[in-house]
Amino acid sequence: MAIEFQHVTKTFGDTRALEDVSLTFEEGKIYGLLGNNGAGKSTLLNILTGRLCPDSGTVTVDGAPAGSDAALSRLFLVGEKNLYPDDMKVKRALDTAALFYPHFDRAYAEDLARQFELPLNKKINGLSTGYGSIFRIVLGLSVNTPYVLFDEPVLGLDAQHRDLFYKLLVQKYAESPCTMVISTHLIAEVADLIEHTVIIRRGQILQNAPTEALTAACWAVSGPAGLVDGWAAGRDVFTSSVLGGLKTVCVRGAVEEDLPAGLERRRVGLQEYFISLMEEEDQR
Amino acid sequence: MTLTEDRPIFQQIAEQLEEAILSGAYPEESQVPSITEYSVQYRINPATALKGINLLVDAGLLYKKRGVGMFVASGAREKLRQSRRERFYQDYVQRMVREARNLGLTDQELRTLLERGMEEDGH
Amino acid sequence: MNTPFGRAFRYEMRNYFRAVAVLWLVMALLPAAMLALAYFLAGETAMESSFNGYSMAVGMFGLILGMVGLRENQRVLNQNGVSRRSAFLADVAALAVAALLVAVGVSVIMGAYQAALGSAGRLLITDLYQLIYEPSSNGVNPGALVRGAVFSAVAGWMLAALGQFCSALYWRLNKFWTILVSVTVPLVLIFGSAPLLTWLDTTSAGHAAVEALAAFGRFLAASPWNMAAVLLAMGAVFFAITWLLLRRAMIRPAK
Repeated sequence: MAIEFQHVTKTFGDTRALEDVSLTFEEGKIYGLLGNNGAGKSTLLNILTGRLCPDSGTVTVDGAPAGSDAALSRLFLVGEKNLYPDDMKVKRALDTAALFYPHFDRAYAEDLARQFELPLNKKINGLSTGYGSIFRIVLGLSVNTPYVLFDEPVLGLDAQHRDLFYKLLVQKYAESPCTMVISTHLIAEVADLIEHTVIIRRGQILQNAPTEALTAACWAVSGPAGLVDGWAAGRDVFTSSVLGGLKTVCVRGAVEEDLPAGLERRRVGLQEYFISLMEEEDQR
Repeated sequence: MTLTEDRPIFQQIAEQLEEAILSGAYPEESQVPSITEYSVQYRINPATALKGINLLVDAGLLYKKRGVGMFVASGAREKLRQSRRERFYQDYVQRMVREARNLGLTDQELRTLLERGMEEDGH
Repeated sequence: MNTPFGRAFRYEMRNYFRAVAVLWLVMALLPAAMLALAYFLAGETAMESSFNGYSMAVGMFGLILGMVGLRENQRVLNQNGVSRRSAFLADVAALAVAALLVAVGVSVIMGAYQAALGSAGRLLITDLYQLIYEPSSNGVNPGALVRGAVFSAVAGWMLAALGQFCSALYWRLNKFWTILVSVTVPLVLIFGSAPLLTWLDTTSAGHAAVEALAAFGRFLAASPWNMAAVLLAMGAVFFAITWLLLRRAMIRPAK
């Protein structure tokens, strides 16, 4: 039981949006799908939901081909934009979700709408960016499908509402585990939520590992430039920065606790790791 | 408590639990918050919270009552105090001495500072 | 009917039924308004006038529903977990039911007016079917009304298929081809007719074409069911092409 991408390739004209992507989203985990703008995150999700057809490769949801009734009814995409008709109101969209998803929790959705102060009688396409995000979040948290995909779920949300969303997400997941995939630019905010991280760059999968494995094997060491250079020689350094005579390097691999006097180590968070990785790739 | 980036999250959860048991906030034989409560409170993955709590279960500080939840084991507080004492030298004394040498403090100056610290704390 | 197709059908019917009800209302009020207008404007000496907008209304209704519905339904149904194939099939079925509802409703309204006005009425109310196939009928002819309703439903469904085809075509065409098609089709229709008529008039192939066309016309006029069969076939062809265009089209937000 899983979502599986096998050797998926998609091009738009001259640009390769996805290049031979193979990827599995297992049941009951929270995944982070990270990548810069244009990396292919949305293309990946659009192919998974049958909105886009890949040039080659296969995508299946619990064995059913992506885009089929069996595949689509098992997942819900909280997309970046709305696919609802111009004149549809929030309330009607909830009715519609209730018609199509047998496990949609109508009472819970209305409770969420109250918590986020989402007006039910407004037209969906007349909502501001923030409330548009809230509308989609409310649906995503209430549909109760085995897979829920969040593409930029907190776009335009203020800090308080973002925090509320993360809280509700954990609550939902802890009470009835499902597979969640979160694609976001606010990496630091989800770093402790996502069990498994997929990093995508220029249409290719760069990293695909448990979040802890990525960050645990990564340290920042800083100190006088000469000392740092001497220590770092022969190690897997992926970025370095200099501030006057002070140098900081990010290294992969274990770093001993008792460093030479004058050197300090600290752990690297997921966001810092991501940025370092992107900078390393840029220099290639 | 807020979580920081400098140590793994599950370790911080475990430390926070230990702290609460030591201070008596979670008395022996009382129930501790569930994994869901921990993960919702700190917006962390339940698997991480579970890993943190399991550290204490493995150390015999917490035990599981099937279908009810996690409880503080009797004797947990004393056990914690004991292990903290054992780690005290490593965690505080060794580090303090090393930092004092880095700063160029003499051994006599360090002793004086220690005594001052003890006096100011009222002992 | 608790399948994705069944749910999609119910969702679409709910939307289409609103449009059907509006059309019923308009079609019920329009002849009354015309009667009133004719009475006030012309007084006692008014000439006979006729109203035969019913067929037109059913046809336009089908065309517009087909045109506006295709993309919108694919979007909202994809968001709600229905495959494009089920969504499309539900559309074909829902459009057939909507066309039938409109046609039957309109025939009932027409029959009611014919009965109320009688053969002495100043306003002759009829539809395309009665005009072509059963023109002599005075007053109410229930058989003709039923046959007319079936005929209109088929025509409405065919035009809905045409509407879907147009919508799918513009969906798949990029900007360049959209402009090209939008410009050339009217140009060919306007300026192409003169050379076409010359060709028909002056060449033997042209004469043969005229003959064939006339034979086809006679075939259509001979029986309403010939016409209905041709319309059904056209509808099926339009729907089939629409599906081919739709199969790999990208479903994305309106803006």
